[in-house]
Amino acid sequence: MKRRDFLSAMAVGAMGGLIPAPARAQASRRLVVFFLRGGLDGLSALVPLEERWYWQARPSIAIPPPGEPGGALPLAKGFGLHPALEPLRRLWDEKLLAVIPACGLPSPVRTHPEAQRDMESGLPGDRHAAEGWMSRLLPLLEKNAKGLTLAVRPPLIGQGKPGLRNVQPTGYPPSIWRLERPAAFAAFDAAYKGMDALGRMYRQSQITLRNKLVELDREISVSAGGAPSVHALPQLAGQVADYLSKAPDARLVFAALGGFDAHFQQGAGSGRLAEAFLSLGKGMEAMAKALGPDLERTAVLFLSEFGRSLRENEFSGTDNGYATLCMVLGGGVAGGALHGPWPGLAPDKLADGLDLAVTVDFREPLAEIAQRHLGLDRAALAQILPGYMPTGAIRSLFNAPPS
Amino acid sequence: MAVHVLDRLSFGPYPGEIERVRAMGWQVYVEEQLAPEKMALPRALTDRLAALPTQSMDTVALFRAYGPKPPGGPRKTPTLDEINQAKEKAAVIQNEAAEARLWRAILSPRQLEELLVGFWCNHFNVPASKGLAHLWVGSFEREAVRPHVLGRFEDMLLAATRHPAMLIHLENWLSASPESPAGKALQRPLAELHARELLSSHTMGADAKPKAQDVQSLALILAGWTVGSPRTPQDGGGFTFDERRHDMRDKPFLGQTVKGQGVAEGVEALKLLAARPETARSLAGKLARFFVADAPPRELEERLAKAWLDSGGDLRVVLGALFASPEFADARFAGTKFKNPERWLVSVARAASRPVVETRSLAEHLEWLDMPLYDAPGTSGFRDAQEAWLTAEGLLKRLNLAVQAGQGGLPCWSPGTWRALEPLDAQTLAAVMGRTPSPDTAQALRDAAPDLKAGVFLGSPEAQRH
Repeated sequence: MKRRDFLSAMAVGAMGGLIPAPARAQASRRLVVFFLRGGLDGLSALVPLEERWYWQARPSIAIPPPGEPGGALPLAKGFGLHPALEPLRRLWDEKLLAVIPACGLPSPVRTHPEAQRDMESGLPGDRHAAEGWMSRLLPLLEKNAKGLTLAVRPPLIGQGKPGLRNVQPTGYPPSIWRLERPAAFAAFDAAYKGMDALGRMYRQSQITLRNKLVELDREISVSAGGAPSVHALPQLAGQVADYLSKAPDARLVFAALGGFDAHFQQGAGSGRLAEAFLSLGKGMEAMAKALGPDLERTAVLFLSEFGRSLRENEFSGTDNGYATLCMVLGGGVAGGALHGPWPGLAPDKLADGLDLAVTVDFREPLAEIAQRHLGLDRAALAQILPGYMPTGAIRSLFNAPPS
Repeated sequence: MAVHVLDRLSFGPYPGEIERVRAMGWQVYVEEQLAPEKMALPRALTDRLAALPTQSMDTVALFRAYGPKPPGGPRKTPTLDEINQAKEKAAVIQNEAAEARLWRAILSPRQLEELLVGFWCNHFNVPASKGLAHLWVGSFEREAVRPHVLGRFEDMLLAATRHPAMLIHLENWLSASPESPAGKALQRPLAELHARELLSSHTMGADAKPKAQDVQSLALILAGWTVGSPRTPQDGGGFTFDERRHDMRDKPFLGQTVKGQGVAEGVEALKLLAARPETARSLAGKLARFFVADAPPRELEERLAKAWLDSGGDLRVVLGALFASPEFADARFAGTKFKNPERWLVSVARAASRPVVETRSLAEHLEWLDMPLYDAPGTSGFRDAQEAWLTAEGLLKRLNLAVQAGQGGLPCWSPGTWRALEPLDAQTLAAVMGRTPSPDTAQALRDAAPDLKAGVFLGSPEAQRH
């Protein structure tokens, strides 16, 4: 199926041809941002199949290569897609999906609220930032342009003057990480039931474990920042598309989803992270479908505050890391390709010796979207992202300049 | 007895080793271990060591290649950034030293020698995080410790004391006698830290209360022992004697008088210290704790101290006496010592006998288990006692790692490509390690899910002790 066919097929499905096509063609471009809170594990989403360090560092949570049970799906040379993200392959083949494999903040910040603040403000390192880059972007669009954020509390990204209107999403499923004592410890209980020093210390260690899990639980719920879990994405995508089709002036939409903080038992081809990816994939597909022909003039950006550590931790999970993948979905993107360099996973290539290094500043795709998708000039860009000089590292992200 | 001997003289048995030692007789194994120079290192090990370039560099070469460099030009001293950059680059030295240590522990047939190197490195602890010591953690071991672990203590004491790593760590390199030409210009020229450690933890024991007079005398005796490029025949390996920091007066020391004669005073003082009965008692006791029990019988300590004094501190003789003692063979002490993280992790790697492809990850596990190799805190190293290692946090981490290992999931076993995890087998492991699970552990093993069984064994009390 050719890309155009796919778009029109989706148009029939989603819109039922109710809206006359010519009116659409005149309308201007839109940006939808989905913030994936919790730190998305880019190394599980986009599997570096040829990196021996990947297999070495993640003995029990690496995604197996293509052909193995639960194995990755071949995507680009040297890279596979998580099997649960299967719907993305169609978008990729239709050249609607572009991926930046190692994207993130200019320097590592490994706590969720701070990293999220840096990305939403567009002013990394500014601890007192009180306005977001989307609210700086909105007034630069045409006069009656409107923006909307979907969050429990108005997110920083839409704050400022005039700011984006916030709508509280309700009735969404809660966090997907339910904390339990790892099953392995139940197996030790019998071996340590003695009253000797080891037995006593074992019982103390189980109290320590419980405290640790409570701590992790707290961190995971903080990381979601009150956002609905990613399982809400398929439904939310439909609602976002609906809103866009009913509000002709709507130009910017932001929604945040939680559930990527995978500190323990994240699983590999299946498991908790795979479930999160399943909803992510379905949601992205639903978004493309629901937008229908509007996808042509829409860019949908998927951002996460950081990736995960290269090494798996003692709970078969991963800790807060640095670079992760950034995805852009849209009719105008140079889809079906990876954009920006891959830093590699050799120990000397890692950030702080721990995590995938960032080769593309997260502001770079924002700059590309502002200039090449929304058609703003450099002066406007300087207002949206003060102090940022685009490097041009992903010049290739969009197909053609805006008409 | 074969199991006990392997538990105490090695990092733990590998498959078939218990049978091998049984067949040859445990006394023969002990003799073999006491003469490591007769055992060839296998190719598998020598190839691994050869792949670590900083492992064959000496103290001076390491400083030249990795030390902070004066920038040249108008600035004389490097900036903080330049120092940090040099430090970052030099991190490879400690990494490679730790990797080499683990390669040897896993693959070397000279197991006793490796244990002793660890023992004495810990005794003469030079933590990598202190000053320039990170450059020399490996060369200190190679130059000051390894050649002497089965030789005379006196030689090791001398080599360790004059090594730049130690001189810098304990600050003697800056010390000068107030009466010396260089010292007269300084506000507080004399540094006593090294002298104090020499009199207590290095020789007569951490609990020894050295007299202030002796500490000061020894500091004066060692004034001028510093680092630098050689000037006299006594200098070398980065050690140099700076006579401008030394005064030539006679010094009272340990009830005797050390005649003013320059660098030879220090050598004489160290010989005096090495020959002290307190030194013999303290170090014989430390060896007995290491090889027999956290609280060894008093008679054994005394017998070993006597062997120490009679042989003039010949460590091979002392260890021979230890291994021949009835206390060493006493079944009462078998399997009572709690393995420290290094010993436990290496014993797992040896018993599992899976091809280990890298030891970096093992070194990281040890750091995580609060036993960073070559970076023990303080001047006297890690404590060799159950209560030092048996903590709630530590046990939790160990059990997590045990489960990971039991599932075959240690990163050190990964071939660097994808492979389905193959769990280890609990019964095989128990047989290789020579352990009979206690009724409680046997119960836990029966109840555990198949992929957890090996982990449960590796984390059980039996596998934690040696």
